[in-house]
Amino acid sequence: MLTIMRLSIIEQMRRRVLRVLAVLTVIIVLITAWGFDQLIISSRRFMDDVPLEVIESSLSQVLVFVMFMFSFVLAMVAASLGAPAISGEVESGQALALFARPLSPTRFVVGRWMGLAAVVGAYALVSGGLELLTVAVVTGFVPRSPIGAMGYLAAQGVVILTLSVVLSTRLPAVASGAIGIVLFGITWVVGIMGSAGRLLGSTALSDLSRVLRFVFPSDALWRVAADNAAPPPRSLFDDPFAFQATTNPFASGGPSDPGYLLYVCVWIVAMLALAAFSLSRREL
Amino acid sequence: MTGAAADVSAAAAASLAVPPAIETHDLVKRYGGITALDGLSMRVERGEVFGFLGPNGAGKTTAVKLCLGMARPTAGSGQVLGAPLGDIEARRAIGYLPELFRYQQWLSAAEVLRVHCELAGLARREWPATVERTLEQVGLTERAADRVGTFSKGMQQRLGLGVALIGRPQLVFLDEPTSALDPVGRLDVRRIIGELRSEGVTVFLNSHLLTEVERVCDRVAIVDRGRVLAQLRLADLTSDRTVRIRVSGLAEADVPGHASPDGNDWRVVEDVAPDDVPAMVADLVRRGGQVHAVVPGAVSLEERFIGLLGSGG
Ligand SMILES: Nc1ncnc2c1ncn2[C@@H]1O[C@H](COP(=O)(O)OP(=O)(O)O)[C@@H](O)[C@H]1O
Ligand SMILES: [Mg+2]
Repeated sequence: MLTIMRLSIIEQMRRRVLRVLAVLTVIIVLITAWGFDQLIISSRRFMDDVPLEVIESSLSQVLVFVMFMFSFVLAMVAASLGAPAISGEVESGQALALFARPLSPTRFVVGRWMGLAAVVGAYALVSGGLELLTVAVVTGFVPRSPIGAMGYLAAQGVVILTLSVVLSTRLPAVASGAIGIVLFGITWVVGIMGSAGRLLGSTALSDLSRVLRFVFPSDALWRVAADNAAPPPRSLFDDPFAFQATTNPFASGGPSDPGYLLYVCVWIVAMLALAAFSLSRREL
Repeated sequence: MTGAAADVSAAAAASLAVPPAIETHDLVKRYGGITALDGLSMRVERGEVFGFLGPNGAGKTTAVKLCLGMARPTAGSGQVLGAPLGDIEARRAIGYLPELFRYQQWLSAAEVLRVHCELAGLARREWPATVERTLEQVGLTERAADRVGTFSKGMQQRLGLGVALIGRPQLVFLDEPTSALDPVGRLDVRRIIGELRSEGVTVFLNSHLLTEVERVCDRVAIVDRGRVLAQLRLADLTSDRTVRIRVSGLAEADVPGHASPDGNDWRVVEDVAPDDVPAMVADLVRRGGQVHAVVPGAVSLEERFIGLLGSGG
């Protein structure tokens, strides 16, 4: 299992995937840093004494947009790493030599997943951390929980990775990747509709989004991540933009919830078990 | 009971206790409407170099995949090294060069071998020596540090052969091991198979190349359409008690032996001692026969192969 995990990590490093991601991240961080700097300069120019809460709230809104872009990039990365994880090995014939060894499908699937999850997680934490750090340096804004924001973002990436790996045991890479991304998008949209539905009293919509939280915990994790990127609580009570938390499609659902996090872990384990079963039934 | 007798009976008991390398009973494998294996029964003894010879699509690769548990039989059963088909632990003692060989392109040759040392469960301290020896065996020592992705197809097949040798296997499956190799490479494969034989390793060689099988195998199964048409010991084919002769000027009944299965005008004379051949020829000449050729050795494998496939089809 550890052999396969190490192999998967080396693969991503050797294939220059990590290097490309690092370069992209630096570009994103530089652009957004410059953007935040411009925002601060402009707002100071128009109004001398803008209250801290208002600045923080606006910054956090912009930050949530930036984070959403990160979550999208992360979803793409996770799906494109997970989608060929199994199918690529089987289709290329690389799996033949591996499975001639005493290697069970479970150890193979879990090893692949651990290696890729390490890559996705590390990418999320490093790039997210770099972004938050840059924002903090440029604007002085520190979200409520930077660790939480990054952690939940990483968890979302791992969830999308997990789904792609499951699909990858049966479908060719392009199909699993596409399904992973589409589901990421759909749950996000349903999440927004669910929030709107709650406001408008549509139980059907809010029920759907609640069910989806458990079926595919991608959007739900994103919402907690976004919540953790909001300004610290002190400014929340008199925040003139506080209402946006419920109407803004990019904004959050609820705060961190250890119970739900535990559920996500169970979901991942169940998915990996499904993937191992699916692979064990597949003929090479 | 004397000591020697005890040894003999112990050896007999041991040989009874050791199951054959491969044994299958009526294996059937269907892919949708295609029957890849149609009641395949065979038995491969320990230490034997066994040739599995058949035309394209005969089901050779499918048979190996079933033995390795990479595909499940539609019907039938079998054992490999005494374990049921698909047993994961049995793979500890198996080496495999797939027909469609492909290794991690982004690793070096030495790294690929090291990964397989690890997967095969060799102790870590054995890895460097194992890798070095294997590279030497397959002639890749000079390219050990190069990425597999930069290798030619033939070099990748050499690497695959090396992978199959890792982990002190008792049974090695080679599926068309020379498909990408040059003549020197083919010679190397023959040498490696010879080494395996001398170490007592069982080799299961899939091939559609008659000469390849003819040169290295102890025993051959000729397969077509998923069935074994014949199993033969190559020593019998190349028996030195058989000669082929071409004679004219005599009635068929007056010439010894029987007509060659090829349907040409050769005749095959079996069970003549080499020392008796001159007398046989002298006798033919005395009776007025014109002897055009006398060739020692029986039918070639090729003749048997074509004969069997012809009658089977
Ligand atoms: N995965 C598969 N799906 C469908 N048909 C297959 C599959 N594998 C093999 N076959 C069919 O089974 C038959 C035997 O194939 P194979 O074992 O590869 O032959 P060989 O190795 O002797 O050339 C062929 O007709 C082939 O088309
Ligand atoms: Mg084949």
